[in-house]
Amino acid sequence: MAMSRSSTNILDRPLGRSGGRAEGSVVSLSAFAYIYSELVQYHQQRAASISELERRLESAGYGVGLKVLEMTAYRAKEVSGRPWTIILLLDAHCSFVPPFSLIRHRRRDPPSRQTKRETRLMSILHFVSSSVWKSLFGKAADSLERSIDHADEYMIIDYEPIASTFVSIPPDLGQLSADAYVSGIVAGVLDGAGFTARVTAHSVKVEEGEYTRQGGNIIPGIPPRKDKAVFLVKFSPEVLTRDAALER
Amino acid sequence: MSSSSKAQAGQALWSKMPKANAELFALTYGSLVTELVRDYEDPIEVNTQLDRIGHSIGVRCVDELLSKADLAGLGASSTMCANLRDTAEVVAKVGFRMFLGIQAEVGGFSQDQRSFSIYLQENPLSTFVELPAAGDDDYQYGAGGDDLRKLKYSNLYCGVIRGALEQVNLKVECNIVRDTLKGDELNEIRVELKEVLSDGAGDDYKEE
Repeated sequence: MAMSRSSTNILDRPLGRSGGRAEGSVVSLSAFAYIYSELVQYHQQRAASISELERRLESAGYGVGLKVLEMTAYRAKEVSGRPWTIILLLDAHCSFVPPFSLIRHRRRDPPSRQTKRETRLMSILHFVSSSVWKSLFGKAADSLERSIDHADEYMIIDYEPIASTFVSIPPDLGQLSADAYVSGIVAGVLDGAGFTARVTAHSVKVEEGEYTRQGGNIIPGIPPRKDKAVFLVKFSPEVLTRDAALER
Repeated sequence: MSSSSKAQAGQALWSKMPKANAELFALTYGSLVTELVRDYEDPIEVNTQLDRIGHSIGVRCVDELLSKADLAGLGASSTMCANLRDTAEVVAKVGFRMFLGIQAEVGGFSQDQRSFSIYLQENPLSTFVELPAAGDDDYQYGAGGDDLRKLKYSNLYCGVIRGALEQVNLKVECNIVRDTLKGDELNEIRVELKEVLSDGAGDDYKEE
Protein backbone atom coordinates (compact mmCIF):
# COMPACT_ATOMS: atom_id res chain seq x y z
CA MET A 1 0.00 0.00 0.00
CA ALA A 2 2.71 2.44 0.94
CA MET A 3 3.88 2.73 -2.62
CA SER A 4 6.59 5.24 -3.14
CA ARG A 5 5.52 8.10 -5.33
CA SER A 6 7.69 8.92 -8.30
CA SER A 7 10.46 10.84 -6.67
CA THR A 8 10.19 13.96 -8.78
CA ASN A 9 12.34 16.60 -7.25
CA ILE A 10 10.30 19.50 -5.92
CA LEU A 11 12.30 21.84 -8.11
CA ASP A 12 11.26 19.91 -11.20
CA ARG A 13 7.59 20.22 -10.49
CA PRO A 14 5.69 23.21 -11.86
CA LEU A 15 5.69 26.14 -9.49
CA GLY A 16 2.45 26.41 -7.65
CA ARG A 17 1.58 22.78 -8.02
CA SER A 18 3.91 21.50 -5.38
CA GLY A 19 1.84 19.75 -2.77
CA GLY A 20 -0.96 19.49 -5.27
CA ARG A 21 -2.30 23.00 -4.82
CA ALA A 22 -2.85 25.40 -7.63
CA GLU A 23 -1.43 28.87 -7.73
CA GLY A 24 -3.73 31.34 -6.08
CA SER A 25 -5.32 28.76 -3.83
CA VAL A 26 -6.51 29.84 -0.43
CA VAL A 27 -6.94 28.68 3.12
CA SER A 28 -9.16 30.31 5.68
CA LEU A 29 -7.96 33.54 7.21
CA SER A 30 -8.52 31.87 10.58
CA ALA A 31 -6.02 29.15 9.77
CA PHE A 32 -3.45 31.77 8.86
CA ALA A 33 -4.25 33.78 11.97
CA TYR A 34 -3.81 30.72 14.21
CA ILE A 35 -0.40 29.97 12.77
CA TYR A 36 0.66 33.59 12.84
CA SER A 37 -0.48 33.92 16.43
CA GLU A 38 1.64 30.94 17.39
CA LEU A 39 4.60 32.41 15.54
CA VAL A 40 4.23 35.65 17.50
CA GLN A 41 3.77 33.81 20.79
CA TYR A 42 6.79 31.65 20.16
CA HIS A 43 9.00 34.66 19.53
CA GLN A 44 7.44 36.60 22.35
CA GLN A 45 8.52 33.95 24.85
CA ARG A 46 12.07 34.34 23.69
CA ALA A 47 12.26 38.08 23.33
CA ALA A 48 13.20 40.32 26.21
CA SER A 49 11.83 43.52 24.76
CA ILE A 50 9.33 44.84 22.26
CA SER A 51 12.03 45.82 19.82
CA GLU A 52 13.61 42.39 20.08
CA LEU A 53 10.26 40.79 19.36
CA GLU A 54 9.85 43.00 16.31
CA ARG A 55 13.36 42.18 15.22
CA ARG A 56 12.61 38.48 15.54
CA LEU A 57 9.40 38.74 13.56
CA GLU A 58 11.22 40.74 10.90
CA SER A 59 13.84 38.08 10.55
CA ALA A 60 11.14 35.42 10.34
CA GLY A 61 9.63 37.37 7.45
CA TYR A 62 12.93 38.08 5.77
CA GLY A 63 13.45 34.53 4.55
CA VAL A 64 9.87 34.45 3.33
CA GLY A 65 10.47 37.69 1.41
CA LEU A 66 13.41 36.23 -0.48
CA LYS A 67 11.27 33.34 -1.66
CA VAL A 68 8.29 35.53 -2.43
CA LEU A 69 10.47 37.70 -4.67
CA GLU A 70 11.56 34.73 -6.71
CA MET A 71 8.08 33.34 -6.95
CA THR A 72 6.37 36.60 -7.86
CA ALA A 73 9.03 37.62 -10.35
CA TYR A 74 8.92 34.23 -11.98
CA ARG A 75 5.17 34.31 -12.31
CA ALA A 76 5.04 37.88 -13.55
CA LYS A 77 5.56 36.66 -17.08
CA GLU A 78 2.56 34.41 -16.86
CA VAL A 79 0.32 37.40 -16.37
CA SER A 80 1.98 39.50 -19.04
CA GLY A 81 -0.56 41.30 -21.10
CA ARG A 82 -2.21 42.44 -17.94
CA PRO A 83 -1.09 45.81 -16.64
CA TRP A 84 0.11 45.04 -13.19
CA THR A 85 1.01 48.45 -11.97
CA ILE A 86 -2.37 49.85 -11.14
CA ILE A 87 -1.86 51.31 -7.75
CA LEU A 88 -4.88 52.23 -5.83
CA LEU A 89 -4.31 55.79 -4.76
CA LEU A 90 -6.65 57.19 -2.25
CA ASP A 91 -7.40 60.82 -2.01
CA ALA A 92 -6.61 60.60 1.62
CA HIS A 93 -4.53 63.14 3.35
CA CYS A 94 -1.61 61.26 4.72
CA SER A 95 -1.48 61.57 8.41
CA PHE A 96 1.70 59.81 9.35
CA VAL A 97 4.27 62.46 8.78
CA PRO A 98 3.10 65.42 6.71
CA PRO A 99 6.09 65.61 4.41
CA PHE A 100 5.14 62.53 2.47
CA SER A 101 3.63 62.88 -0.92
CA LEU A 102 1.52 60.38 -2.74
CA ILE A 103 3.24 58.89 -5.71
CA ARG A 104 0.92 59.38 -8.61
CA HIS A 105 2.77 58.57 -11.73
CA ARG A 106 2.33 55.21 -13.26
CA ARG A 107 4.83 53.12 -15.07
CA ARG A 108 5.14 53.83 -18.74
CA ASP A 109 5.90 50.28 -19.77
CA PRO A 110 3.53 48.75 -22.25
CA PRO A 111 1.23 46.20 -20.68
CA SER A 112 2.70 43.30 -22.62
CA ARG A 113 5.98 43.41 -20.79
CA GLN A 114 7.98 40.27 -20.29
CA THR A 115 9.57 39.27 -17.05
CA LYS A 116 12.39 41.54 -16.35
CA ARG A 117 14.45 42.30 -13.37
CA GLU A 118 13.50 45.55 -11.73
CA THR A 119 16.53 47.75 -11.52
CA ARG A 120 15.06 51.10 -10.66
CA LEU A 121 14.00 52.25 -7.27
CA MET A 122 10.51 53.33 -8.26
CA SER A 123 9.89 50.17 -10.26
CA ILE A 124 10.77 47.93 -7.38
CA LEU A 125 8.58 49.90 -5.01
CA HIS A 126 5.67 49.56 -7.42
CA PHE A 127 6.46 45.90 -7.80
CA VAL A 128 6.32 45.41 -4.04
CA SER A 129 3.21 47.45 -3.41
CA SER A 130 1.27 45.95 -6.29
CA SER A 131 2.51 42.55 -7.48
CA VAL A 132 3.89 41.26 -4.21
CA TRP A 133 1.01 42.66 -2.21
CA LYS A 134 -1.52 41.13 -4.56
CA SER A 135 0.04 37.74 -4.55
CA LEU A 136 0.33 37.64 -0.77
CA PHE A 137 -2.71 39.54 0.39
CA GLY A 138 -5.03 39.45 -2.59
CA LYS A 139 -5.05 43.23 -3.06
CA ALA A 140 -2.62 46.01 -3.83
CA ALA A 141 -1.30 48.16 -1.02
CA ASP A 142 -3.50 51.16 -0.37
CA SER A 143 -0.88 53.73 -1.11
CA LEU A 144 2.75 54.38 -1.71
CA GLU A 145 4.20 57.64 -0.48
CA ARG A 146 7.52 59.37 -0.70
CA SER A 147 9.15 61.45 1.96
CA ILE A 148 9.73 65.03 0.95
CA ASP A 149 12.46 65.64 3.49
CA HIS A 150 14.35 62.41 3.10
CA ALA A 151 14.99 61.13 -0.37
CA ASP A 152 15.71 57.66 0.95
CA GLU A 153 12.40 57.15 2.76
CA TYR A 154 9.18 55.73 1.38
CA MET A 155 6.01 54.47 2.96
CA ILE A 156 3.77 51.64 1.92
CA ILE A 157 0.38 51.90 3.57
CA ASP A 158 -2.12 49.16 4.15
CA TYR A 159 -5.41 49.98 5.85
CA GLU A 160 -6.25 46.37 6.52
CA PRO A 161 -3.02 44.58 7.18
CA ILE A 162 -3.78 40.89 7.29
CA ALA A 163 -1.21 39.88 9.89
CA SER A 164 -2.73 42.01 12.63
CA THR A 165 -6.37 41.32 11.74
CA PHE A 166 -7.21 39.63 15.02
CA VAL A 167 -4.48 41.17 17.12
CA SER A 168 -5.05 43.58 19.93
CA ILE A 169 -1.94 44.97 21.53
CA PRO A 170 -2.00 45.06 25.32
CA PRO A 171 -0.93 48.37 26.93
CA ASP A 172 2.38 46.97 28.14
CA LEU A 173 3.36 46.22 24.57
CA GLY A 174 2.09 49.59 23.35
CA GLN A 175 4.69 50.27 20.70
CA LEU A 176 4.56 46.84 19.16
CA SER A 177 3.42 46.51 15.61
CA ALA A 178 2.11 43.05 14.89
CA ASP A 179 2.88 43.63 11.24
CA ALA A 180 6.61 43.46 11.83
CA TYR A 181 6.55 40.08 10.10
CA VAL A 182 5.29 41.73 6.91
CA SER A 183 7.95 44.41 7.11
CA GLY A 184 10.44 41.57 7.23
CA ILE A 185 8.92 40.12 4.08
CA VAL A 186 9.22 43.51 2.36
CA ALA A 187 12.83 43.80 3.47
CA GLY A 188 13.51 40.31 2.13
CA VAL A 189 11.98 41.13 -1.24
CA LEU A 190 13.89 44.41 -1.55
CA ASP A 191 17.16 42.96 -0.39
CA GLY A 192 16.82 39.99 -2.69
CA ALA A 193 16.28 42.37 -5.60
CA GLY A 194 19.41 44.28 -4.71
CA PHE A 195 17.76 47.19 -2.94
CA THR A 196 19.06 46.97 0.57
CA ALA A 197 16.69 48.72 2.89
CA ARG A 198 15.68 48.90 6.49
CA VAL A 199 11.94 48.34 6.69
CA THR A 200 9.95 48.94 9.84
CA ALA A 201 6.26 48.51 10.54
CA HIS A 202 4.24 51.06 12.46
CA SER A 203 0.64 51.01 13.54
CA VAL A 204 -0.84 54.42 12.99
CA LYS A 205 -4.26 55.56 14.01
CA VAL A 206 -6.63 56.06 11.11
CA GLU A 207 -8.07 59.56 11.13
CA GLU A 208 -11.79 60.00 11.00
CA GLY A 209 -13.01 59.91 7.43
CA GLU A 210 -9.59 58.99 6.13
CA TYR A 211 -10.61 55.59 4.96
CA THR A 212 -13.84 53.74 4.61
CA ARG A 213 -13.93 50.36 3.15
CA GLN A 214 -16.22 49.82 0.22
CA GLY A 215 -18.65 47.02 0.67
CA GLY A 216 -18.59 46.73 4.42
CA ASN A 217 -16.20 44.99 6.70
CA ILE A 218 -14.27 42.09 5.25
CA ILE A 219 -14.70 40.00 8.34
CA PRO A 220 -18.23 40.00 9.59
CA GLY A 221 -18.55 40.53 13.29
CA ILE A 222 -15.41 42.44 14.05
CA PRO A 223 -15.31 46.23 14.24
CA PRO A 224 -13.59 48.29 11.53
CA ARG A 225 -9.85 48.67 11.88
CA LYS A 226 -8.66 51.59 13.96
CA ASP A 227 -5.06 51.38 12.89
CA LYS A 228 -3.42 51.21 9.54
CA ALA A 229 -0.05 49.66 8.95
CA VAL A 230 2.67 51.95 7.70
CA PHE A 231 5.74 50.24 6.34
CA LEU A 232 8.58 52.69 6.39
CA VAL A 233 11.25 51.82 3.84
CA LYS A 234 14.63 53.45 4.29
CA PHE A 235 17.02 52.59 1.50
CA SER A 236 20.74 52.25 1.98
CA PRO A 237 22.85 55.13 0.63
CA GLU A 238 24.46 52.97 -2.06
CA VAL A 239 21.03 52.10 -3.47
CA LEU A 240 20.24 55.78 -3.95
CA THR A 241 23.66 56.47 -5.42
CA ARG A 242 23.16 53.70 -7.94
CA ASP A 243 19.68 54.85 -8.81
CA ALA A 244 20.91 58.39 -9.33
CA ALA A 245 23.62 57.04 -11.61
CA LEU A 246 21.04 55.14 -13.66
CA GLU A 247 19.03 58.33 -14.02
CA ARG A 248 21.65 59.82 -16.27
CA MET B 1 -26.17 11.98 10.12
CA SER B 2 -24.71 10.77 6.90
CA SER B 3 -21.21 11.45 5.76
CA SER B 4 -22.27 13.42 2.70
CA SER B 5 -24.28 15.92 4.69
CA LYS B 6 -21.22 16.54 6.86
CA ALA B 7 -19.30 17.22 3.71
CA GLN B 8 -22.02 19.67 2.70
CA ALA B 9 -21.86 21.38 6.07
CA GLY B 10 -18.08 21.63 5.73
CA GLN B 11 -18.43 23.11 2.28
CA ALA B 12 -21.05 25.60 3.48
CA LEU B 13 -18.79 26.77 6.29
CA TRP B 14 -15.75 26.96 4.04
CA SER B 15 -17.57 29.19 1.56
CA LYS B 16 -18.29 31.69 4.31
CA MET B 17 -14.80 31.85 5.76
CA PRO B 18 -12.71 34.92 4.94
CA LYS B 19 -9.72 33.67 2.99
CA ALA B 20 -5.99 34.12 3.03
CA ASN B 21 -3.39 33.16 0.49
CA ALA B 22 -2.34 29.54 0.88
CA GLU B 23 1.25 30.29 -0.03
CA LEU B 24 1.60 32.96 2.62
CA PHE B 25 0.15 30.40 5.03
CA ALA B 26 2.62 27.72 3.98
CA LEU B 27 5.59 30.09 4.09
CA THR B 28 4.60 31.39 7.50
CA TYR B 29 4.35 27.88 8.85
CA GLY B 30 7.68 27.17 7.20
CA SER B 31 9.34 30.05 8.98
CA LEU B 32 7.97 28.76 12.28
CA VAL B 33 9.30 25.25 11.67
CA THR B 34 12.68 26.57 10.55
CA GLU B 35 12.92 28.61 13.70
CA LEU B 36 12.08 25.54 15.80
CA VAL B 37 14.67 23.43 14.01
CA ARG B 38 17.23 26.15 14.60
CA ASP B 39 16.36 26.51 18.29
CA TYR B 40 15.88 22.88 19.29
CA GLU B 41 18.17 21.09 16.82
CA ASP B 42 16.81 17.69 17.81
CA PRO B 43 14.03 16.83 15.31
CA ILE B 44 12.21 14.70 17.89
CA GLU B 45 11.99 17.72 20.16
CA VAL B 46 10.79 19.81 17.22
CA ASN B 47 8.00 17.27 16.69
CA THR B 48 7.00 17.65 20.32
CA GLN B 49 6.98 21.43 20.03
CA LEU B 50 4.89 21.32 16.86
CA ASP B 51 2.43 19.10 18.66
CA ARG B 52 2.30 21.54 21.56
CA ILE B 53 1.74 24.50 19.24
CA GLY B 54 -0.94 22.56 17.41
CA HIS B 55 -2.65 21.78 20.69
CA SER B 56 -2.84 25.45 21.50
CA ILE B 57 -4.47 26.06 18.11
CA GLY B 58 -6.79 23.08 18.47
CA VAL B 59 -8.33 24.18 21.72
CA ARG B 60 -9.31 27.45 20.09
CA CYS B 61 -10.38 26.34 16.67
CA VAL B 62 -12.86 23.80 17.99
CA ASP B 63 -14.73 26.77 19.44
CA GLU B 64 -14.73 28.49 16.11
CA LEU B 65 -15.99 25.38 14.40
CA LEU B 66 -18.83 24.77 16.80
CA SER B 67 -19.94 28.38 17.02
CA LYS B 68 -19.78 28.98 13.29
CA ALA B 69 -21.66 25.78 12.57
CA ASP B 70 -24.28 27.00 14.98
CA LEU B 71 -24.43 30.51 13.52
CA ALA B 72 -24.67 29.16 10.02
CA GLY B 73 -27.86 27.45 11.14
CA LEU B 74 -26.48 24.06 10.32
CA GLY B 75 -27.93 22.91 13.58
CA ALA B 76 -26.46 20.69 16.20
CA SER B 77 -27.13 17.71 13.98
CA SER B 78 -24.17 18.56 11.77
CA THR B 79 -21.69 18.57 14.61
CA MET B 80 -23.36 16.37 17.21
CA CYS B 81 -21.60 13.06 17.51
CA ALA B 82 -23.03 9.83 18.82
CA ASN B 83 -19.87 7.82 18.36
CA LEU B 84 -16.27 8.06 17.26
CA ARG B 85 -17.28 7.51 13.66
CA ASP B 86 -19.29 10.73 13.74
CA THR B 87 -16.44 12.55 15.44
CA ALA B 88 -14.02 11.39 12.78
CA GLU B 89 -16.37 12.61 10.07
CA VAL B 90 -16.72 16.03 11.67
CA VAL B 91 -12.96 16.41 12.10
CA ALA B 92 -12.27 15.44 8.51
CA LYS B 93 -15.25 16.71 6.56
CA VAL B 94 -16.08 19.82 8.54
CA GLY B 95 -12.85 20.75 10.33
CA PHE B 96 -10.26 20.26 7.63
CA ARG B 97 -12.66 21.61 5.04
CA MET B 98 -13.64 24.82 6.78
CA PHE B 99 -10.15 25.85 7.86
CA LEU B 100 -8.01 24.63 5.01
CA GLY B 101 -10.46 24.09 2.19
CA ILE B 102 -9.12 20.65 1.52
CA GLN B 103 -10.78 17.32 1.20
CA ALA B 104 -10.03 14.82 3.93
CA GLU B 105 -11.23 11.24 4.03
CA VAL B 106 -11.86 8.98 6.98
CA GLY B 107 -11.18 5.28 7.06
CA GLY B 108 -9.24 2.44 8.54
CA PHE B 109 -11.36 1.97 11.63
CA SER B 110 -9.96 -0.56 14.01
CA GLN B 111 -12.02 -3.58 15.13
CA ASP B 112 -12.86 -2.05 18.46
CA GLN B 113 -13.84 1.22 16.75
CA ARG B 114 -11.41 3.18 18.87
CA SER B 115 -8.95 4.30 16.25
CA PHE B 116 -9.20 5.61 12.73
CA SER B 117 -7.21 7.35 10.04
CA ILE B 118 -7.62 10.67 8.30
CA TYR B 119 -6.30 10.74 4.76
CA LEU B 120 -5.18 13.95 3.11
CA GLN B 121 -4.38 14.04 -0.58
CA GLU B 122 -3.07 17.55 -0.38
CA ASN B 123 -1.32 19.25 2.45
CA PRO B 124 -1.34 23.05 2.53
CA LEU B 125 1.35 23.08 5.22
CA SER B 126 3.93 21.39 3.07
CA THR B 127 3.69 23.43 -0.14
CA PHE B 128 7.25 24.28 -1.25
CA VAL B 129 8.73 21.86 1.28
CA GLU B 130 11.38 19.29 0.66
CA LEU B 131 13.07 17.41 3.43
CA PRO B 132 16.80 16.78 3.06
CA ALA B 133 17.46 13.41 1.45
CA ALA B 134 18.40 10.51 3.66
CA GLY B 135 22.06 9.78 4.11
CA ASP B 136 23.24 13.23 3.22
CA ASP B 137 26.72 13.11 4.63
CA ASP B 138 27.45 16.72 3.90
CA TYR B 139 25.83 17.56 7.17
CA GLN B 140 28.14 16.51 9.90
CA TYR B 141 26.83 18.69 12.64
CA GLY B 142 23.82 18.46 14.91
CA ALA B 143 20.48 18.52 13.16
CA GLY B 144 21.10 18.02 9.50
CA GLY B 145 20.80 15.52 6.72
CA ASP B 146 19.88 12.14 8.08
CA ASP B 147 18.59 13.44 11.31
CA LEU B 148 15.94 15.68 9.78
CA ARG B 149 14.28 12.60 8.33
CA LYS B 150 12.88 12.15 11.79
CA LEU B 151 11.17 15.51 11.56
CA LYS B 152 7.43 15.23 11.20
CA TYR B 153 6.95 18.43 9.30
CA SER B 154 3.17 18.46 9.55
CA ASN B 155 3.02 17.30 13.15
CA LEU B 156 1.00 20.44 13.85
CA TYR B 157 -2.09 18.56 12.65
CA CYS B 158 -1.68 16.00 15.42
CA GLY B 159 -1.64 18.70 18.03
CA VAL B 160 -4.63 20.46 16.51
CA ILE B 161 -6.73 17.30 16.48
CA ARG B 162 -5.60 16.37 19.98
CA GLY B 163 -6.35 19.84 21.32
CA ALA B 164 -9.70 20.13 19.59
CA LEU B 165 -10.96 16.73 20.71
CA GLU B 166 -9.69 17.30 24.21
CA GLN B 167 -12.10 20.22 24.47
CA VAL B 168 -14.99 17.88 23.73
CA ASN B 169 -13.83 15.38 26.34
CA LEU B 170 -12.07 12.96 24.04
CA LYS B 171 -8.51 12.19 24.89
CA VAL B 172 -6.79 10.99 21.76
CA GLU B 173 -3.34 10.21 20.51
CA CYS B 174 -2.38 11.24 16.99
CA ASN B 175 0.40 10.17 14.76
CA ILE B 176 1.44 10.93 11.25
CA VAL B 177 1.96 7.51 9.75
CA ARG B 178 2.29 8.41 6.09
CA ASP B 179 3.68 11.60 4.70
CA THR B 180 3.99 12.72 1.10
CA LEU B 181 7.18 14.54 2.07
CA LYS B 182 8.70 11.15 2.77
CA GLY B 183 7.63 9.66 -0.51
CA ASP B 184 4.26 8.22 0.52
CA GLU B 185 1.42 8.70 -1.91
CA LEU B 186 -0.77 10.48 0.60
CA ASN B 187 -0.77 11.80 4.12
CA GLU B 188 -2.28 9.66 6.80
CA ILE B 189 -2.93 10.75 10.34
CA ARG B 190 -3.76 7.95 12.74
CA VAL B 191 -6.04 8.95 15.59
CA GLU B 192 -6.53 6.68 18.56
CA LEU B 193 -9.09 7.24 21.29
CA LYS B 194 -7.53 6.78 24.69
CA GLU B 195 -10.22 7.82 27.04
CA VAL B 196 -13.53 9.56 27.15
CA LEU B 197 -13.12 12.17 29.84
CA SER B 198 -15.94 12.82 32.22
CA ASP B 199 -17.62 16.19 32.16
CA GLY B 200 -16.24 18.85 34.43
CA ALA B 201 -12.54 18.22 34.71
CA GLY B 202 -12.55 19.16 38.40
CA ASP B 203 -10.54 16.19 39.58
CA ASP B 204 -7.95 16.61 36.89
CA TYR B 205 -7.26 20.09 38.07
CA LYS B 206 -6.75 18.98 41.65
CA GLU B 207 -4.08 16.53 40.61
CA GLU B 208 -2.08 19.25 38.96
